[in-house]
Amino acid sequence: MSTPKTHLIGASLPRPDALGKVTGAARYPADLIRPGMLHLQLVFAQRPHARIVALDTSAAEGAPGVAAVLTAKDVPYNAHGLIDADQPALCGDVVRFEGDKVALVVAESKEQAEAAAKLVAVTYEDLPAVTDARAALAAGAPLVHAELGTNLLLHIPIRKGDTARAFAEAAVVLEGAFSTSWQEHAFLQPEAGIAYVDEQERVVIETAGQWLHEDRRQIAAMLQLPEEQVIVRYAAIGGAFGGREDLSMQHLLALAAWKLRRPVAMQWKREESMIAHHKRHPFDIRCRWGATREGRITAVEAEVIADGGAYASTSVEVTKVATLFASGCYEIPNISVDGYAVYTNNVPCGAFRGFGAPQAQFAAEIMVTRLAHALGMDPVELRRRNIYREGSLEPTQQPLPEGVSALPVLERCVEEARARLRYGEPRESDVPSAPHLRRGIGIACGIKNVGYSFGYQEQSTAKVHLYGKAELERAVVLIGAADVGQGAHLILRQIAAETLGIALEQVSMVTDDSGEAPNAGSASASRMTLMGGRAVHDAALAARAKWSAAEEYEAEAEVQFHPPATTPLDPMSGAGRPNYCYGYAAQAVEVEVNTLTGQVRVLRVISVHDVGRAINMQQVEGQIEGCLAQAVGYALLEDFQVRDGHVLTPYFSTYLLPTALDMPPEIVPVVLELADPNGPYGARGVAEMPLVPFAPAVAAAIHDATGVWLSQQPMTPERVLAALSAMNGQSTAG
Amino acid sequence: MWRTYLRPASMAEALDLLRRYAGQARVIAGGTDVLVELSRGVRPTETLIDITALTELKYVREESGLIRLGALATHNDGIASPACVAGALPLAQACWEVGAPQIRTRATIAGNLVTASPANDTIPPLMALGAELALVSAEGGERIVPLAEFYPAFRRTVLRPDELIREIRFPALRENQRGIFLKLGLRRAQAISVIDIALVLTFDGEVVRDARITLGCLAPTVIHARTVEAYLVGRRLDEAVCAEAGRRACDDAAPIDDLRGSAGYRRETLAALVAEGLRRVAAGTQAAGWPATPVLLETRDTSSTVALPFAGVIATTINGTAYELPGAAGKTLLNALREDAGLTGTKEGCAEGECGACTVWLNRQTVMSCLVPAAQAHSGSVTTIEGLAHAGGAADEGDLHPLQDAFVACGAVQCGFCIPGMLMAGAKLLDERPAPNDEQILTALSGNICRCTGYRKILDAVHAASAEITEGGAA
Ligand code: FES
Ligand code: FES
Repeated sequence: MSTPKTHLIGASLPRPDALGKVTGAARYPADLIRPGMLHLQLVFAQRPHARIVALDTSAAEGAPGVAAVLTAKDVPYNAHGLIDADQPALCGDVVRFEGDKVALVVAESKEQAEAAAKLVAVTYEDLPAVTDARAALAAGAPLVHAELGTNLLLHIPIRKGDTARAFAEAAVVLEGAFSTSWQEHAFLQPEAGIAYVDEQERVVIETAGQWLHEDRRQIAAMLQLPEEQVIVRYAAIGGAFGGREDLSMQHLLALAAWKLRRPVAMQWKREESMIAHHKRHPFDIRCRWGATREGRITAVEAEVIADGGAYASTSVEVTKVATLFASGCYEIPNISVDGYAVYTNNVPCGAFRGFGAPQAQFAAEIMVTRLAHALGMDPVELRRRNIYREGSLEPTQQPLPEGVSALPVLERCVEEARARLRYGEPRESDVPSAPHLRRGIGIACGIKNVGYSFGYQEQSTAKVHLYGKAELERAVVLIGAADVGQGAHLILRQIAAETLGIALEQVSMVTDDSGEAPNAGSASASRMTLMGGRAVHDAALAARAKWSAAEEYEAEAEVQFHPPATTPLDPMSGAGRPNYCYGYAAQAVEVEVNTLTGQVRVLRVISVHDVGRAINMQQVEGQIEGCLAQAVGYALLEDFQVRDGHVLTPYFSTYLLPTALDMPPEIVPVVLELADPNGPYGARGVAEMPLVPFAPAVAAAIHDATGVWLSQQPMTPERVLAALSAMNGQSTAG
Repeated sequence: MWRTYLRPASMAEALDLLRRYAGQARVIAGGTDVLVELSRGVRPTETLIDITALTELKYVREESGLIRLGALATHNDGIASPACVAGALPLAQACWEVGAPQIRTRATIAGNLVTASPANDTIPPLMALGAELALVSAEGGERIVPLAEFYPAFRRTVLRPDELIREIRFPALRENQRGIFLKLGLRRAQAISVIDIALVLTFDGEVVRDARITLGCLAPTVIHARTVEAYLVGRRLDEAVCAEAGRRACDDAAPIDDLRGSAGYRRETLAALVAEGLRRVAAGTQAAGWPATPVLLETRDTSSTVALPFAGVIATTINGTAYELPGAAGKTLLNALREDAGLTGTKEGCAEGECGACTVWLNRQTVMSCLVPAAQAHSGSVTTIEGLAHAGGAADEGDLHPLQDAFVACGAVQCGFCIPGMLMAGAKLLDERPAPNDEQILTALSGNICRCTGYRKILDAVHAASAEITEGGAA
């Protein structure tokens, strides 16, 4: 990599987009709705599994203001999906979860569309629903997709060494069973957007998403149009966190605009957003860990089952990630893990910050701490002896990609925990005035891939135009990279300005139009700084070189950056090179447990991350702090309840998010900069990492405080109290 | 959600309308419950009768040992009233635990009673305080109903369709009485109770002479824990008695399983809460944790604005500019601002008062505009994010409110969708107290959800703006 001239790299520059956001001038998708547009209202299935016997739209069509009622027969190619196109835009024969869509009402006003949607008469024949992942795998279970003949979407085994022998020889063997629940992204801006057909006969969709070119691909396929005839543009995006990776309404906006040739608008209510878009996967994990007396973890066996819900989305990839991380960030010679992704009639699951890593490591990290206790060893010491180092072999039998910083990250975390939390010192009474308040400290590590995995053709493309006279005066950077709130546009601009040796103000960005800006890949997998940043960096260097050589006052270069290739996992053994970069994290948390109510309060968090190089330190801290809020919610609070396929918590009044008062009073983000070999200026991603160790660190802290282990996420007061009562041998029955 | 919006100018007119609509209309004041119910199709209506013009009903006062709350007394009024804090601490504590600041500015205590959920926080303290209600109607005149007899069944009241609660009243706590309200919620702000309890104890020295203990979310209606009340009489509140009282409270409860908790969890925590409450009353620490100057997010002002009669067309001032909004009488203020006034800076994140993205100022109060009928802005004034800079004294085009500057400088903005609401709440806090501490800031912003930032840089930004304002003022 080029030697850094560091005046812009690392600088906490304020975000240019913040000005519009603090004045109310920034336009989010719903702010684009104009008088005269047609309004769309969906008719949702509201039942987990049923056959559509009859669909009568005549009453709705005759209602005041209604322009059309679109159904499955109006969709040119009625299937979409990020990996498998298995989800209908509008269901024609069968509905597979309650948020499935059966009709789209188009009317002159929002109120008219809503009223007419109630008049769409659908006759259903309810089918048996399967709403539990293990039950879905049982023989004779109802089939979510009858044509597949099975509910099994993926089985991936990982085999390394000889677990049978290792367990036989292990001094300590522990078993564990863990379950994690759904998590809702709850980006604050519910899905909305507009669409129209422009004078060049292109259908233009203005909305929010995470990947312009992927949205365009799926929409073009659905409408059976060439991709150039579909333009996707992103307005200001009100958060994403993986939750805008799948199509939600973008394609339906396109469909209505294309069919009616009029501008259309749609805005989901929160409860529509809650039932209709995908969630974080619930996992059921059963595992066995073995170690020698000396503290060498020698064997891990695990079964990892993901409830994928009704459609494929990215379940296959999420499950592979969880399977890979079922043994955490430790070099363990004998591993046997089986990952399963399963179709059910629950809400589909897909990408959410962490992408399978938090679930797997909730189990793995708790098991490591339990093993340490069983061995009479300090949990940090056990980690130290087994944690990944440069050259360690992954469960997939290949060496880790270069830049393994798991150990320095852990050591720094321990150092901070000793200094700030007095970790390791004997504790006096917790809260003398209140004996029912007990405090404890927990430490956990985490690993998560940066960028796409398992042989996916990972790339990012950027184009740089340079203009000037004697001197280079300005640069235009074109890269179709979504700024979902994380600040990607400023980061890319800082990289461009630094690389070109010009001021930030001399660089302008073209980022939000699939027709103008090249494909950066998605804003996901913590990849945009590394991948998009590297593409911008390389394109800037190439353009700069041309500029120096050229006579004209203009130069341009487009670069497609490819990181080191990854490979698919071998279907029998899982062998392969799964990833080209990892982020490493370690956290120490202090909690206070109310032993009378089960309430857990996180008092202090130390969150240590190797970010390779911070391009903008303020934004890095922002990612860590913001991710921690989601981690607090995930670990303790956010309880997405589903019964028989029905979401019971579709409102913010029932699905509780952390408020400002729920955050730990003390948060210490610690940023290490141990350069990544591929990242621009050594940068690697960080956005997902804080979510990975947090829940198991909290579980360890609760254990430290009270002596009980929680194995279900979220660790709600009721679960904590039940565990305490069970320990005390009391009955919790009312 | 509704078609006809009526805003009577006098009590007589209000009662006459209630009689004429005979159960077909709903009374609205703060609207924080009614609008949520209407959007979910609960107790639907075509007609709203807004009683907020009856400003004579907005009072909290103590007269010869009796505390009186008018029908328009809000939760904030309960919190801010010294009479209420001194003479009805459990009620003040309950008011403080309800919703978010933007809800407490508007939600009335009488409205909380009428919603009649066993989870409504003000019912247990008022019942323990022995409150009675003055109900009025055009035909029946006034009748007095003890609160204990107000709820015949789950979510039902004895209020007749033509009746209005005019006043809530109860004897103020005397020298030898102490009380407390305790609530178990699933998060630290804005949580509907899993359970809540109120205790009011009368002492003879250290011996309990009379005990009133009421339980919320532990039966179909709020109930008295009769067994415990009887048990406590004649006893001193030592540790064993407190613990035993907690255990016995479970015999009085008949809780159910719901989304917030199982019946078993409710019983188990009830025992803990009752014991805890008794311990604190015994120790005289029932007011521990009560903020010396609670954050209100409203400019307390007794000068009542004279509301002009409302005849279907909303005439209001937004950010200093006069607007006529002829099509907005059936809308929420949020939709009227966005759709009719074209001011899209105010955001919708939930439309049920849970996220704060829609926060604006209405007549000096910070409100969730998704829960305000637009007509309540008639002849009033509204400040939105688009007008914040000006309201903050920015002289030139392009200048910002100090808090806006601080949000940019501190990196408090990520996706930005929560930010307009966050700024409106934060700026009102700085109006109310220019140098707030952490706890006051976090409380003031506890009704504003941010999913991106983790709130830390937002907290930094409020401190930074505070420094700017206080130093700027001193210079
Ligand atoms: S509080 Fe009004 S939109 Fe969420
Ligand atoms: S900045 Fe995105 S919700 Fe607050």
